[in-house]
Amino acid sequence: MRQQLRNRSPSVVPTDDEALVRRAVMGDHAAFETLVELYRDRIYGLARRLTGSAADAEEVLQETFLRAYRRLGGFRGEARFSTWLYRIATNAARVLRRGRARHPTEPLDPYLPRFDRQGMHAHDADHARAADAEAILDRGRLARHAREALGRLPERYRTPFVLRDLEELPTAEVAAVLGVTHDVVRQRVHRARLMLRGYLSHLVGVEP
Amino acid sequence: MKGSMTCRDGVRVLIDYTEGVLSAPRRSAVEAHVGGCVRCRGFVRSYRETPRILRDATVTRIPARLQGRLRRMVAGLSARATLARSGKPTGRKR
Repeated sequence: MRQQLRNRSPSVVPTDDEALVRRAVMGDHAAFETLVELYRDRIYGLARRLTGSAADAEEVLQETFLRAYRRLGGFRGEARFSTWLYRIATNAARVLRRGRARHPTEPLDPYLPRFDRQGMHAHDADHARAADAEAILDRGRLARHAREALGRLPERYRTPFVLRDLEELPTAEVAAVLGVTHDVVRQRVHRARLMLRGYLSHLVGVEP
Repeated sequence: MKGSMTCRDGVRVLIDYTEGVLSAPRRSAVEAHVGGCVRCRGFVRSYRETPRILRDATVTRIPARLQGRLRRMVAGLSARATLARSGKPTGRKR
């Protein structure tokens, strides 16, 4: 049964998410507003990286908090609030991107490492050069290409890579957000890193 | 892994190697290969750096105008909920 807590302004504000969620579910709007303040930057950053566009990120951000508000009563506390919120945001980004995907994007598979018949690196190149991309490329150009590269990753690789390597969530939390196993997260992150490493190599003029 | 390690073998387990979760024998095998393979040394370095480079290159801050828009949206939700509880029309289309 929901308790009406309208117009209450408690002197002690709970700092942990679960306490804020409990208060928000009971009708304390200030608690929900606090949750929004706490998570808006992280959700916007995530959405920007997943969608590649400021306009789309804005839509995902608003949709995420709108859905969270409407579904808060159904939050069972089985997962952390952050996990639950990230799941809403990644779903919103996926739905939005599907609607936008009118033109197939060129995949990043050609940037995976190549090996000869003996299993050795096929190219006698400077394989470390991608690590110097920031020193070699103009900052704006690198940012543009980085977003483009993320957009070219298939969604099954992009989302785990963004959550784990860019948003720096623990593997277990990424697995919970995506509803896949720990091993699946690691495999997909690994493949994404290989493709992106190769793409960075290409940008600095080296065969992957 | 049987016999001597190849570059391909090493790349397959690179995430485990760089995150220190390989078993000791496998870790030794990777280190032995990488120690003698200049291409793999370079590959490991760029593999380690790739997430950080992508992370730094895609950092963004939420625009101030969007913060305001979000605040207004949440305030609107609160106002509608308050009206709904009071029994007054909320103005929302059904």
